[in-house]
Amino acid sequence: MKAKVKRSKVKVLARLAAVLLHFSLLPFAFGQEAAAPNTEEEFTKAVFFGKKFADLGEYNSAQEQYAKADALKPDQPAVLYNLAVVLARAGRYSDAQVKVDRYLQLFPEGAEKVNVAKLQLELQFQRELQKKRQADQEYADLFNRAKFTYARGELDDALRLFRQAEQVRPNDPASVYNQAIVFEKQGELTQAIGRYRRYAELEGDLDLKASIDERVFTLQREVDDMRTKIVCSFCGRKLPAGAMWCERCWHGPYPVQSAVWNSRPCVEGASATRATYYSDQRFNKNDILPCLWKDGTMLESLRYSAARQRAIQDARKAEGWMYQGDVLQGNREVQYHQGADYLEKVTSTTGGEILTYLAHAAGVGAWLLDREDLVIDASRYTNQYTYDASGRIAQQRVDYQNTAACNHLIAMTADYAYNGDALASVAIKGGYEGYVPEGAPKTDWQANVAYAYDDKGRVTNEELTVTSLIKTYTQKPIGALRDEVGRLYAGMRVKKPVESVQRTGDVCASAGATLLSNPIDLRPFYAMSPNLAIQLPNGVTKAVVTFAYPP
Amino acid sequence: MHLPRIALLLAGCLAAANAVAQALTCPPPPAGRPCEAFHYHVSMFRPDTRAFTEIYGGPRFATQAACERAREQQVSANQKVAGFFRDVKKEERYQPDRFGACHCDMTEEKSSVTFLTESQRTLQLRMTEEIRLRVRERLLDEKITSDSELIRALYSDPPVTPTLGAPKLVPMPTVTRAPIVTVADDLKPTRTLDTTKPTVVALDLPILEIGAPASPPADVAASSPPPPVPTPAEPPVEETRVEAQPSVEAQPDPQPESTNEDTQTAEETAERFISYETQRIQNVLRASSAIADENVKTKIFEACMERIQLLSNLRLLIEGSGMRSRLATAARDAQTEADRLALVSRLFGDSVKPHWAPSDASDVVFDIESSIASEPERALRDSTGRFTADQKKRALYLVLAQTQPTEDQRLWLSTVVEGLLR
Repeated sequence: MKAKVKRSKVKVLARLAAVLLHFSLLPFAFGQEAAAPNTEEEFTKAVFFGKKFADLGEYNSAQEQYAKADALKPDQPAVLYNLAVVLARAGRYSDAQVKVDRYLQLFPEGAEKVNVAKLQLELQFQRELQKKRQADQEYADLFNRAKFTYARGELDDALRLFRQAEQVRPNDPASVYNQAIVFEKQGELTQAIGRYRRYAELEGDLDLKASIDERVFTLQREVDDMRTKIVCSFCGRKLPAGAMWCERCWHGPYPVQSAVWNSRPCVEGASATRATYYSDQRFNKNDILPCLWKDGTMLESLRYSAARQRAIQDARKAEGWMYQGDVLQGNREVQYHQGADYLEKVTSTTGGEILTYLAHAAGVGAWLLDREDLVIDASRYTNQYTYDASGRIAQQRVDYQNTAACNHLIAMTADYAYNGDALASVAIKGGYEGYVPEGAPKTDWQANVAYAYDDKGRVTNEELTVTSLIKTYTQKPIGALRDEVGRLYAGMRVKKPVESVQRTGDVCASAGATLLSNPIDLRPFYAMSPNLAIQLPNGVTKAVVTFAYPP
Repeated sequence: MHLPRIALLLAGCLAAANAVAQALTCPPPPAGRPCEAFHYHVSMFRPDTRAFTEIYGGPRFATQAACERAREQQVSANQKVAGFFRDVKKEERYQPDRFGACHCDMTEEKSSVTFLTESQRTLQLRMTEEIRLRVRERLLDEKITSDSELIRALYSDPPVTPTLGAPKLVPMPTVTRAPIVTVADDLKPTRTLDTTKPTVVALDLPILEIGAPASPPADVAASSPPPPVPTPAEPPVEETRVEAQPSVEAQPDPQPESTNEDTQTAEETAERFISYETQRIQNVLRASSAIADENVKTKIFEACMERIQLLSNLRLLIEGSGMRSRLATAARDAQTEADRLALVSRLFGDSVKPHWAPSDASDVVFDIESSIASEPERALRDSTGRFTADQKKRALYLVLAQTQPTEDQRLWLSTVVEGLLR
């Protein structure tokens, strides 16, 4: 009986357990049946949308859809493949590579294997391309920075950056060309030429090469000119080094090799002092002569450069002078009459003066004056030059009427003597014959200029001595003029040299308390020396210029 | 003894008569030849002989006017002297000098009857001075002082043009170094950069139709790397509202390189600003997918494409103009939405602002007047005042949105932008 009851209890418990099990598993079973079709549907929808977006070129949206599909059903080979493709098309190459790697790991022999291999190759190429683009970008940044810097006028920095650019890409002609431009702007023409030549080597375009050849030729000529030419300090004209005058304005002289003309350099320790003495040897005064050549020598101070030429021309233009090309044409007041080869005449539209010039050629581009009119302190002088075989002044004759005093017609001559290349001495004489009413005075004087040089060929001493001054009245002055002359020279006797003339100077008349005189006027001999082209005060018969140079 | 004296007297009288009769002029120059110099003749009265002497070797003048001025001056001076003797001293026989008219000077023309050699000219000068001295002597004799106006009048010379008396050796002008003009156009652009547009890769690879799984899902081994984190699915777009602000993760500040810190920082700034704005426009695109009207959708798509192009160009401008440029500074300082819109307004004008961050996707579309839209670059470059500042800003929008500027254009655009932000 007990066994029967026990079996029936077991059966009841088994049934109960079965029922409980059934009910406990039911929701799972139902749940599974409800979820499966939903996921599939979402998956299908996602892959469909992904394809549609991809077809539209909307790769980001396509990627989102495939990513959703991948989340719903991970690691489906076609989904992985499509995801990789749209990621690649969207430009997300590293993400695409992750998908490709995943695919190859899971499905090395998958159906999409061939396309995946192509994609893999494409992604490798894109990595290379990206590296190149990054390098491009870095180079473009460097290049643009250099251009910006150049545009701001910071030439040193621009040059540095273009040089960096050349180091990065040695075969880029642009960075080399731009260096040449910077060098040109800096006035470093030789270096600019070097860069242009390198550019021509790199440049493939034949037209551009040809234009660079022309540019190099022009610059080379400019460099040559900088070595061999000077500028006229008045009009800026380019002249051969050593030209005595500028033939387009007749300013000068520019004897750059002359020791006399290089005797006043603007350098520490250099000085020039002119002492003058009366006929009785009494000291008159010292004149400290200002230095002339800022760059040490006449040649360096006048050496041609485009910038220097431009500066001179700009200065003249600011003063109202006009140019035709590089040739001076005059200003509002005076007109330059330029002949075929040189300035032939200067006329004034206000005063009506006419200054005439005659010249002859002396080598390429150099002209020597044969005759010139010169105005100094409102008096007009006429200079006539003769030259030796080397084109140096051999003799100069000066004629003028001293309108500042008694209107005497005065003539002077200077004879130049050279020792080798150096000016050794100049013998000057002058005089005039006065007019009958004033007693027909006859005046003659002689002077000598002597030069001394040191062992370096520099002038150490320049000495002017008036060796004689003789004035003789050849007849009696008439009427009231006799009284006037008597006051000028108390003991004057006709046909006897005036004894006091060296002490008093050559006085000829009075204007109230002022005595009018004919001083020894060496200013027209401006080509002789910058130190002694002076008018000697009455009674002064000696001038000594001493020079000092730095050791 | 008397005969020669009488003869001399007669000769003097004849000479005086001749002088009076003389026309005081040169023969005219050959027809058609321009006159190079002018002068006038003077018949000078010599007080001791009371005879006249014709002088025509005096000063020469470049112009008739200058000649006339000098002549008038001398006539006036001579009248003072003659007036003194005639009116004050009652010497009625004292005659003023006679002056011919100014005319073409033929004294250097060898064929002319008035031609003068150098010595003849000198003789005439000496004669002039001798006559002057005789007059001077008469004046001194009349107790006229030697510095009186009358004596000075004897020697009245025409004024000299000061320019002509300038020194022959001129000091070099003080060279003020002229500023070196550097314009970017002097330089050559590099041609080594790849300027081709980035192409879409893998276009030749097919997108597979996925129905059922082609291969069974793999049994992922425990050792396999974990699957990539899936991108969270976007909720379906229900409307065209655009997210108010795009959410871009703040990126950590990169460590500046010691060599070009400026560029790095400018790039960083560009990246932050442009990423944010790119996300904004992508939100617009995304929102537009809910729009049914294909025409509107297309327009939004086009506007968004232009905006993306604009942002790409803006990035280059920020990067290129350097960290301290106004553009980079403004972009860096634009932290809030209001700042960003203010910057947009300064760059592209107030009218663009509402379309920049549209609350509705369709608002991204806007039209710009045809006068600007047809040639935006020309409008932007215009310096005639034809376009207002606002119109130029809109033109800037179009230039950036519709073109891929070259390096030189970018340089110019940077300048324009710096100007707008000044």
